[in-house]
Order: sequence, then structure tokens, then C-alpha cells
Amino acid sequence: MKTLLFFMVLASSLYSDAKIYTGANYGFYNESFTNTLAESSNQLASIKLGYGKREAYAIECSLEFLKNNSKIFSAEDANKYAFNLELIKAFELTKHLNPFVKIGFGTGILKIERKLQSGLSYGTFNVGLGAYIPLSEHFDFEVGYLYKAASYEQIDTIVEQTSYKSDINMFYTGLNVRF
Amino acid sequence: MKQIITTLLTTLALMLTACGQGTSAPLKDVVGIKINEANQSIYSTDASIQLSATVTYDDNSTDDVTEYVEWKSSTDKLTVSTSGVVSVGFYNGGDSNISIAYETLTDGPVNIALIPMKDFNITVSDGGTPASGDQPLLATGIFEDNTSRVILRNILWDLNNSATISIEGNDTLITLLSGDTKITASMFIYDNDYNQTEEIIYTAP
Repeated sequence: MKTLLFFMVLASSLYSDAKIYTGANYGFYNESFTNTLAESSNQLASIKLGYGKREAYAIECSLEFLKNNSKIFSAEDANKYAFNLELIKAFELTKHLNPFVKIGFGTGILKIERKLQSGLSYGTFNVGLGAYIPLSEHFDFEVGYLYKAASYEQIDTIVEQTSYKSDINMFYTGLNVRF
Repeated sequence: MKQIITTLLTTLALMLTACGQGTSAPLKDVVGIKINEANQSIYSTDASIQLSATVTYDDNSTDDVTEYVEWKSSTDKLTVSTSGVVSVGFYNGGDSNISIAYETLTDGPVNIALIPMKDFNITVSDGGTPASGDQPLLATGIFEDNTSRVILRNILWDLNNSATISIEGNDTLITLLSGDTKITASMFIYDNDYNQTEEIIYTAP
């Protein structure tokens, strides 16, 4: 009963101050494959929509664009597009700094030009940390680091079906608007 | 905390330095698949022939994909297994085209001609000395190319008494009883255009 009351109070405090927010991020990523000698570094951008409290909790989904110049899966690997869903726990360190940690997962696609495959999907497990820097009640900057463990759809060479895995490190900065 | 920030800043600096770079040697890709054998022929009473298939990659390497591709025969005169074994059907002659496919990749057809049999005869190979017990029973076909070959398929044996016929590998054995045995062999019983019967009377001691 005490536990239930605790969660009800916690939930009510979250919902009482929670707001819908949106924003955009820009940054850089480095992807290093674990089961083949390949890597990629480039720019990233994302737009996001979330619900929560800047100094407490939030749930956030984002559409992500990863620019790609590398040729790993084919001679014509295209840019990557991904969708992420993340839970954020933030803290009020000072009035001007709200550090946070986040955890979530994502899924993405990229076009490739292989004889047997024209596209490749991948899934990611995401963990990250960063901080909100409030500018006003409605605006804040965000800086963050995100690690993604990615697992790609199998590459088919007829005699082998290989699923490639990678570690993706991302640094980004962004701007959020809270309604 | 200071160490974490230092690590993050170092990683960020490395990423900025390396930004826009990446691997430029893609994983090897399939170029095509190919049936290794050219057009073939098989006698209509033989058992089978083996075909094989190869994949070629863009780094010029190859792999055997006989077991991975889908094998297709254009007719039921010849059937082809998932491992590329082409077996003679129930017909005396006719061609089939064999092709392979793997998703969008295809190759072939390779033409397999079924050489028809013109005539056949049966003998009990007892070395000229009739005896009771197991005796090899031999059916020999004469084919359109005038080749003579032992018949392995598409033959149906029949006996007029309780003697028995057994097949061990490619050998046919008859267990004779004393007295006369009428041995009848019918060829291509499912082929309406060609079915032929031969019979011999064998007298065992």
C-alpha cells in the first residue's frame, strides 16, 4: 500500500509539471564495427518530441539523420535514418544546469546497392548522458553523449548470412522548446 | 567526473577530426551464379547425373553454391533435387532444361538430353550352368546412339511363379525355384509412346 501511494505521489508530481517539448539536435558520430574492419564518422541531426519535466523525467522520441560517406556494405551506402525512443532521468544540479541520463532503443534503415539487397535495417540499444542548460521557462540548450550498440540486418552472400554489429558514439548539441 | 569529461572531449575531438571519413572498401558482393556444367545427355535408363553451381564475387573469389540455390527442371522427364542431382523420370526420351535461381539471380538453362532406348533384352547370367538359388538378372538396352548399356531404371520385372527378385544397389538378383520360370520385363510402363515387354523362360535344375 505504501509503495502504491509512493508511486501515485511520484506520478502526480511528474504529470503536474510535465510538458510537451520539441527540439532539434546537431552533432557528430563515430561508428566502429566489431566484427569487420570498418568505421564511419560524420554529422548527425535529429528532431524530437517529448513529454516530461526538464529537471525530473521525460519520455522522448526522435527522428535521426546520419550523414554517411563510408562504403561498408556496398559501393553506394546511403545516409541513415533512424527512429529512437528513450527514457530520460534528469536532475536539478543548479538552476542553470540539469544533467540527465537516458536509455532507450532505436531502429534505422539505410539504402545500399548490393546484388541481393537494396536496403539494410538495424536496431540499436541506446544509453547516454548530458545536460540541459535552461535559457528560460520554455527554452533550453542540450548537450549530450549517446552510445548506441547497433546490430544490422544480415548481409547475404548466399553461402553466408552475416549480421554486422557496431558501436556508435555520438556527441550532439541541441535546442528544446517546452510548451 | 573530470576524467569522464576529459574522455568525452577527447572522443569529440577525434570525431571532429575524422568527420566525413570512413571505410571505402565495401564487403564483397555477389556478382552472379552459374551452373558449372555445359549441356549434357543421359540415357533414359540411367539413374542420375550430378550438376553443380558456383557463385562469383566482385573480388573474383568463388564459392560452391550447389546446395544453396533452387534447382528447376522444365519438364517432368527429368527431375532435379535440391542438391543438383538430375534423375531420369519415367519417359523414354525428351529434353529438359535445368536452371537455377537464388532470389533475383538466375542462370541456365542447361539442356539435358534424354537418349531414348531402341530395344532391350534380358538374360540370366549364370555362366551357362543353370542353378537354383540367387542368380544375377541382367537387362541390357540398345540406345539411339547404338550404345549398349545395363538398364538401371524404368524396368518392371514380373515372374509367373513364387521365385523372387531382389535389387541390391545396381544389381538385380533372382532367387529361382526348380523347374520353369517365365521372367517378364516391361520397360517404361508410364510412357504411352514407348512401352515394350520382353520375356524369357528359364529352366533351373
